[in-house]
Amino acid sequence: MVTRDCVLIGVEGNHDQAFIAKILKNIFQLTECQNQKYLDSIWRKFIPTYPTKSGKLHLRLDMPSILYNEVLSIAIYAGEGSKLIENLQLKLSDIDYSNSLKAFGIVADADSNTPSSVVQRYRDGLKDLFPGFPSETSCIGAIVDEKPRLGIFILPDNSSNGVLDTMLCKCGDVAYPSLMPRAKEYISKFSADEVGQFGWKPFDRHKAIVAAVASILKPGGTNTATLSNNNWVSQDTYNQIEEIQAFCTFLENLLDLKLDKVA
Amino acid sequence: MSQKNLESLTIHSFRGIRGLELKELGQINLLVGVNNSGKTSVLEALSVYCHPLDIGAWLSIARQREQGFRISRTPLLNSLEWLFARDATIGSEGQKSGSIHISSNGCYTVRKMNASYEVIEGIYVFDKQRRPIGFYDSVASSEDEQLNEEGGLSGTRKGLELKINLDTLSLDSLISGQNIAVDFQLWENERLFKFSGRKYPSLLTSSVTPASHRSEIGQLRLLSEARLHDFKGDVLVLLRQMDPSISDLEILLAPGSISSSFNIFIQHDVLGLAPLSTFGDGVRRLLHIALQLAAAKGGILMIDEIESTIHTEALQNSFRLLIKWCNQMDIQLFATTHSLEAVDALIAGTTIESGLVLYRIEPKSGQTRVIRHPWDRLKRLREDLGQEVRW
Repeated sequence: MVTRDCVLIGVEGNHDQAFIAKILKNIFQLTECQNQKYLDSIWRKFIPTYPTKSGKLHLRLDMPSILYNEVLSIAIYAGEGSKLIENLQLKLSDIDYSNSLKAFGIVADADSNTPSSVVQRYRDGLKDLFPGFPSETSCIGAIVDEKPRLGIFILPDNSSNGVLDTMLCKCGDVAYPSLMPRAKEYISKFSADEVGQFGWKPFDRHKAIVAAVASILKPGGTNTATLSNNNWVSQDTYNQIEEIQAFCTFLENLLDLKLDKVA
Repeated sequence: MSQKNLESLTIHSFRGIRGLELKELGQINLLVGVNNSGKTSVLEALSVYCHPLDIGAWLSIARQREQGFRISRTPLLNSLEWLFARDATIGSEGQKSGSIHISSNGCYTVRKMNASYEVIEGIYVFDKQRRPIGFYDSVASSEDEQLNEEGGLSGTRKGLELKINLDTLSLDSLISGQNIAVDFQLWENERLFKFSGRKYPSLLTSSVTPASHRSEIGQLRLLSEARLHDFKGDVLVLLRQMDPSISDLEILLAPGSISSSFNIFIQHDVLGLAPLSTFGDGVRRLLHIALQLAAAKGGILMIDEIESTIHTEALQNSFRLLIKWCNQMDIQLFATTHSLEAVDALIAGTTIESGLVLYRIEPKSGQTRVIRHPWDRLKRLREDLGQEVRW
């Protein structure tokens, strides 16, 4: 069996997982693992078993996306959002991660805190596992070159408040120029009072715009599905959106995989 | 909380184990790992460490893996040699050698044990009736056997010279210790099982292997002890997990028996009085475990393959009772398992106060690595994240 360098990327939700998987497939030309028999052994620990022993019959557990090429095997793990740090602590307590991982990264968003405070929260939560975990970030994310290599990127751009969908709206302007203005206009018709009644969180307006376009592209489809199936992430959006380029630079540094070397 | 007999255990060298650390031991210690990872070796190392100068116990432990065979296939001294971690280098005269090194913290009086052996050769002399009449521990000639001047037979035979060193706590102080050094010579063709060594220092242990419930040796004594300690009622509760129709246990002479050997009989609501040997493996093993529990009060109980012969549906209730008694009787349990159902049943049957700790043993080049999960983390890993913890 081929031995590949393993990289673990922790994210806060399924949308982030689908977004990074799409970038690794479309921009970095990696293949998504669809069958357990091709899985690198370290990731077998991340396959959940059903039904859960807690007795919750309908609880869905996070199955990471696994992508690979000849030399790399990357798992993108969404650890129940707000429980990501705790779940990573638990998962990694059961794995010889310091000898098994080439790199470990976090991709989070800054929806309710500043990017620097988000970085600090992850630094505090992960320093027992990774003492060298970054404590600050830059416009292309932060990388600490040790073993394993460590990194963190705060969406959308490491300096502004926002979420993945903030970046996706810019991608939508490039990929779907006829749909995006109409989706924005539709969503803008909902007043602050109304969305307050719906319980929208900061930046949910961006998510609603992406969802509106998604439902036109594939009625009944979800934001996660449209990220995988449509053109929000493509060579075009990579060429034209600075935030996508910055995120790809972060991945190049974390994975030690330069895009100009990608076939 | 009072200090346990063993708060931590380090097996520096034993069989194939190197540098294995069991830190922060619990009342209930579950050992998992892939095949040949060393789980059973940990139990054997623990048995040796708890009876460090009892050569009879060493020999039983050395033979334990051949329990299922009618006739042992490995010479006893060879079995004993295999307990030792083999040195990479061969001795100066081409002799094999090895070492056992184990240390611990806790109430147990022994803190450190170092043992080594060397293969030796000696001359033995038989009289005309072929009874050995003496031996000399110098290196013998290469002829196997020849007539001596008195007309008897002589030849060479193999032996082992064991050197055992112990660091112990002195009896009246936890600060100053003492060193005990004892040498033993064991020779093939001797009746080694009569060679008992020294019973002290030691820690009370009981051992259950996957096959030991099939032997009736000692069962009567254990059942008598359980009755005398007012424990028989609890034993019956455990057995009813397997068969609710079991109502009592008796020690009886089989009807029509011409010998005076007694047997254990089960009073059964449907079958009436039936010999224990007619019941299935599950009932017999649970009885065996229950009786060994009674014998391990205040000491260590070791169960190899704790799930063996117990149906999955009966695991949780059986384990709940087992753990309750371990806690009540101040028994530190060390158990191995291959079964995820057994892990889950133990989690479900315990609380944080039960003191369950899981250790996963992972042989790595040059060292035996251990992953330790206390109960609360183990519960989260299994129940909330569905994580596989056996490998």
